[in-house]
Amino acid sequence: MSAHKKTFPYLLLAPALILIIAVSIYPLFYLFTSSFYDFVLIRQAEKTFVGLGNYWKLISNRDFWYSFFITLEYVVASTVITFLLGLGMALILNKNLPLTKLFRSIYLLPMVATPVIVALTWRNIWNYHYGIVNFFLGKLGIAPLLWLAKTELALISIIITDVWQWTPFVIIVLGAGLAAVPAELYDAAKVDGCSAWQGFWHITFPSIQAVVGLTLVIRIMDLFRNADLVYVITAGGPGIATEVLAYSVFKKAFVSFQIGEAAALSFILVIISTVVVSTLIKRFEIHI
Amino acid sequence: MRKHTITMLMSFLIVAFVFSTVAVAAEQPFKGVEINIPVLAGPSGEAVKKLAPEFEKLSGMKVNIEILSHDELWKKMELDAASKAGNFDAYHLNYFKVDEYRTSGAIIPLNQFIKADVSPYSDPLWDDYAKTLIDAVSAREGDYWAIPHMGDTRLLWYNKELFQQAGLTKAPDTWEELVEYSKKLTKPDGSQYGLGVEFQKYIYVLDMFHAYLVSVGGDFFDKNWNSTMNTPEGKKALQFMYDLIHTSKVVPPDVVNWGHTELTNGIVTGYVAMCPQWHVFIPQAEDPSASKVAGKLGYALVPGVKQADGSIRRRDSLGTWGFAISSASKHPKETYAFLEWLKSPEIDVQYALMGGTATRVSTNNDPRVVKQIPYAPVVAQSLSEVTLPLPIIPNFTEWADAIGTEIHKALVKQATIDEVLVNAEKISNEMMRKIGYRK
Repeated sequence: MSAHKKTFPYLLLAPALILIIAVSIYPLFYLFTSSFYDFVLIRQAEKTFVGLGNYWKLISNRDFWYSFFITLEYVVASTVITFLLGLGMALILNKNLPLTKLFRSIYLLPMVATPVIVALTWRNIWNYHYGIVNFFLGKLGIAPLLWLAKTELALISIIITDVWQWTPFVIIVLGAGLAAVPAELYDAAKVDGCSAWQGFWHITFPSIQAVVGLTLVIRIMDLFRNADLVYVITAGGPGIATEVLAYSVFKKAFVSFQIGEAAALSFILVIISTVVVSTLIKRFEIHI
Repeated sequence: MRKHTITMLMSFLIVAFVFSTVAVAAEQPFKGVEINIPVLAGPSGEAVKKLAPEFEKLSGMKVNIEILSHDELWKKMELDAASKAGNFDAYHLNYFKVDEYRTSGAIIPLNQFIKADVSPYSDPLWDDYAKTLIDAVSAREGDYWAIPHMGDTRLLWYNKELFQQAGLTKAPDTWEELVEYSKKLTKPDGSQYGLGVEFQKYIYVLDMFHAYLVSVGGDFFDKNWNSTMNTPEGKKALQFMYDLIHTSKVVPPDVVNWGHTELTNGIVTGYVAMCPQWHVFIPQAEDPSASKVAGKLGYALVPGVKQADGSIRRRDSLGTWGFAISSASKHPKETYAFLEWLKSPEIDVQYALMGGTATRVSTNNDPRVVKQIPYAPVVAQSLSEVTLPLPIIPNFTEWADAIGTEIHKALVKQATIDEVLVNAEKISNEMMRKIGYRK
């Protein structure tokens, strides 16, 4: 093969590679190197190398571990609930029952709404004094709840808001997977006397493994980096009850402008989510 | 002869043109200059934007006012200052941000412009501002660093109609009276509470804690920058805040989520009977189209602590902003000329009449302003006698976030009051040591 034929493919790839390096690799590298410095955005000239100092400061702070565990709680709860609800809805919609088409156009709405608008709307829905949730609870004779002011309830409120917004995404992806399962498999299973549950467990679920894995991966990645709901609805409060790691990164970077610490915390978050996501990709044999 | 007449006429026209150019240049000394200034969104920002064209006509300079929300303002200014891009010629800074910008070299001192008398339109007249305001936002090490803008103070807003119904004839003078009145104004069914407060996380709760702390004679730091939060005064202030929610229960139970918007909504809907609130929001409360209590509110100085001689010692947080000139500005003296004109006495009156938050003592006492804003003299009195700034330190936002979070933990029972005060003291001391203020 001539030298030209050997190098030509790389020349064709070069523009895309340069773009990926510029918008993906280089920022990650900059993030990593920044995490070893103590500097405030407005005083970059006084940047000081502190080695692992930022990382040590984070992990030796009790509040970091509190944020770590509530982040896990938020990710696991939201993922499991959206997955179960989304799978259930996808199974029902796959049956082409009456009004399915109408419902399909309605359930997409939460997902297409701007996240900040969703958060602002739900902040009002959860409001103690005039929120609609407490209004309906009142009609049932239940005293109003401090959805956003009680430490035990605030994270639950955030999780419910997230589930409301992103279950449609799970429905769409799993629905596509369910639609691809050959109907003949169910016909054959029926002939053999298979029950509905057996059909689901032995035919449906194995057939959509890859799609399930992909859904979980995307949801988990999104939840780890999600700060907008917390930012708008609770600002990490009450106290630090909803201060997930992503929100802590935002605060350090854009409230305190402590870029070194924010970079260190970001990198920790990248590592955690990478470990979780890699495990899922391997488990569900997702080919990217 | 004809040729001579034409020559004379041409000469006259040329001379007239030259003189008119000189006259225009003299009248519009900054023609050809363009400056950009960001301003906080709100009635004050709108008033500045409305006034800018008047200065443009006067000076020939183009003044671009960019109105930004609070978060956007901080982010854009911080990025501009960090990168020295020079997109903004001045920064609109809350007083506690001035030192951050000053010590990082992002802004320049103003004495050079005052001494050179660069503004042909006004004099700074620093004596016409409350001293606490100048000390908070501008005066540092013998120089001025910002022109004060938006002298904001908290007043006690009280619903006179609800007070009358409860048999109360005046605003409370002390914190004890405040709680006593609040109990009378709180209904058992939760449809009305006596008091509203801003206990939302971060600056809101920090500000309220500061107000109570300084009114009982405490402070965040001593003169050597040792934290004085874990003291009897600190405990008294935090316990007072805690008790409002959990003991006397005279505030709505979700006040830990209340910021400016929630508090103002609370009083204008009649949900709360009184509140210490920034006077900049009063126009909203007095707007009949947006408020159920327009015309029914009274405005008084915040309550205080009774002294041995019977006087009331009132103290509260200061809220003031200022315009500082960017070190990356290509037109610093022209920018200064605009800012000094904007804050000159007569323009400050016009600005106040347009809905802006006045800064000068003379403005708040001007008959035209008092006619439109009857509570203006109370504002002037509060700025002069009551308000004290939060600690003015270069790492203010980092410190405020940490301490505000700690205080919030106590209010929502995520930690005890003692634990919070010990932790806050530790955090404060470490931060002061880090910036070299404390050994």
